[in-house]
Amino acid sequence: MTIAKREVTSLFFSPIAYIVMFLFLLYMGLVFAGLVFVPGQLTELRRLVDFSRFGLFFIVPLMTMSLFSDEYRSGRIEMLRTSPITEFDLLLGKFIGAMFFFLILLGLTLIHLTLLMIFGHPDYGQTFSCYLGLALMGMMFVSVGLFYSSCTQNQIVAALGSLLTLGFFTFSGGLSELIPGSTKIFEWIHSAMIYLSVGTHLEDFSKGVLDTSHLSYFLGFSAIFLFMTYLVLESRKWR
Amino acid sequence: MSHAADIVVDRLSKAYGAFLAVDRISFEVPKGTIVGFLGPNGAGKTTTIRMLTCYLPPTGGTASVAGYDVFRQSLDVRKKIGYLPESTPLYTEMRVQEYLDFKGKLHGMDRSTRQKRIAEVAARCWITDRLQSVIGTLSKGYRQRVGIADAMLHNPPVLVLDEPTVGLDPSQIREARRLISELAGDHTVLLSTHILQEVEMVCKRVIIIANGKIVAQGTPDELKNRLGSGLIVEVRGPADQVRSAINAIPGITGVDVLQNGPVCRVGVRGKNSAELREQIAALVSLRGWGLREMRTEGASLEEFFVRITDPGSAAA
Repeated sequence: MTIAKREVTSLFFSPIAYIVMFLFLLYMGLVFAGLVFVPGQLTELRRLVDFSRFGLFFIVPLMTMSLFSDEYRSGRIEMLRTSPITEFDLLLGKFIGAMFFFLILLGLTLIHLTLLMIFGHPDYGQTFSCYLGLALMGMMFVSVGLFYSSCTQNQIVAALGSLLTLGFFTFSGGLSELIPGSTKIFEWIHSAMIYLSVGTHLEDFSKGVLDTSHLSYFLGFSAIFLFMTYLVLESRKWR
Repeated sequence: MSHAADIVVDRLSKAYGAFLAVDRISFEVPKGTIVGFLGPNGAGKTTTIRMLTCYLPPTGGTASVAGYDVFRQSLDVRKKIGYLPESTPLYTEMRVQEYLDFKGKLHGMDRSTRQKRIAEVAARCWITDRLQSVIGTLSKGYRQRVGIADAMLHNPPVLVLDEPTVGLDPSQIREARRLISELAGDHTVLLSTHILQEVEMVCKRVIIIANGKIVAQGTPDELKNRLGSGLIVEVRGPADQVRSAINAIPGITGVDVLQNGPVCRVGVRGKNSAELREQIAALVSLRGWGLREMRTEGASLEEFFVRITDPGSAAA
C-alpha cells in the first residue's frame, strides 16, 4: 500500500508524531507506575488497558487530524484525486497508515510488559487479549479521527470534532450515572450510554475474556465511521 | 486503435450553484499537438481542466481523453493523463526522488521502470542534481520543474499543464518552453496560460475562453489576421483632418487618433500592404503635412486577447 507507506514515513518527519509518542508514553508511564507496577498488585496489564482510553481519546485526534485536512488545505488532494487510484484506495491507505502508527504506539508499551515479565509472571492469554482490545479500540478511534479529518480542511476543527466524539465514547459510562433513572425513557438512555461506552466493551478484553458482542461493537463502529468517511470523500467532488 | 483527437470536449458545462463557471464549451485537441488554453483569471480555465482530469464531474456535456470518457472511465483517463495542477501541490517533507517514486507507485509502475523513468524525466526537467533535495527546501522554480517531471513520469499520451512556467526565471522559462515544444508529436498537450508570448511560441492552436464560453479558436496567425495588423503614423498636421483623409483611402477599416497636438499620431487599421503605406505617404505629402514616422505594428495576440475577452474595450 503505497499511500499507507508514505503516510507512515512522513509521520516520522513531523513533530506531531513525536509529541503524540511522548504524550502516550508519559501517560502510560504514569498509569503504569501509579497503578500497575506497585507491590501487591496482580502482575497484569489490566489497569493499564482500562485507563488507556482516557489517554487515547485525546492522543488519537492529534494523530489523525492532518490525514485528510492537510491534503485539502495544501491542494495535494487534487494530485491524489487525479492519480489513477480510487477513493477507496485512498481511504484504505490513510487508514492503514494511521493504524500502523497506532500499533507502533502500542508496541512502545512492550516496555511495560517486559518489566512485568521480569518481576512477575503475567498471564499470556490475558496479555494477548489486552492487546487485542487496545488494537480494536485504536481502530475505532482512528476511524472516528479519519472521518472528522475528511470533513474539514482545518486540522484544529478536525481534532476538536474527534476529541468531542471520542470523549463521549470514553466518558459516557461515567456520564450515564448522572441521568436520573426515574422514568422509562431515562432508563433507556442510561443503558444506551452504557452500551456506547468504550469502557463497557474494553473491560472484558482487559480481564482476558473474548466476547463477540464486544468485538462487533468495535468493528461495527469502525466500519460505520470508515463508511461515512468514504461518503464524505465521494461527495466532496460534487460540491 | 488511434483517435484523430486525444481530447474531445462536447458541450461541457459546470455550474457552482447558480453560477455557470463553464458554459457548454466544445473543442478538440488533435493527437500530438500543443494547444494553448487562454483566458483571463476566472474565465473557467482551471474548472475545465479539472473536469478533464477527473477532479470535478461535469454538470452537463461530455468530454473524453485518449478515447475514454472522463466521467464513466475516469480511472482509464487518469492513467492516460499527466497533470500539472496550478498550485503544484507537493509533499514538502519528501525528497524529490522519494516523491517521484511514490507517484510512480501510484501509477502502478514497477521498480525498474520507476528508476528508469525518474532518471529520464529528471534529466529532461534539469532536476537530476536535486533528486536528493527535500522538496520543502527547493525554490519555486525547482518545485515547478518537479511538478512537470511528475506530470511526465508515467509517459502519458496526454499532458495537461496549468500555467507551467509560473515561478521560473527568464532563462528557465525559455528552457521550459523548449521542453514543451519538444513534447509535440509524442504527446498531446493542453497548455493553460495567460502569458501570450508563450502561446505564440509553442502552440499550434489557441483556444480562448472568457466568462465560461469559448470566444475564439484557431492558429495564432489566424487570430492575428482576424484583427488585421496596424500602422502607426506620426504626422505634423491637424489630427481631425489627418484622420478623415486617411480614412478615405480604400482598404482601410478604421483610424484612431492616438495622440493629439501639433504633431499627431494615428493608428491605422486595415489590410497592411506596401501599397497602402505608399498611398498614405503620398497623401500626407500631398496635403503638405510632414510625415515623421510610419511603422507597422504587427497585431499581437495580446491585442486580440484584450479585445476579445474584455467587451468594454471591443471597439472594433
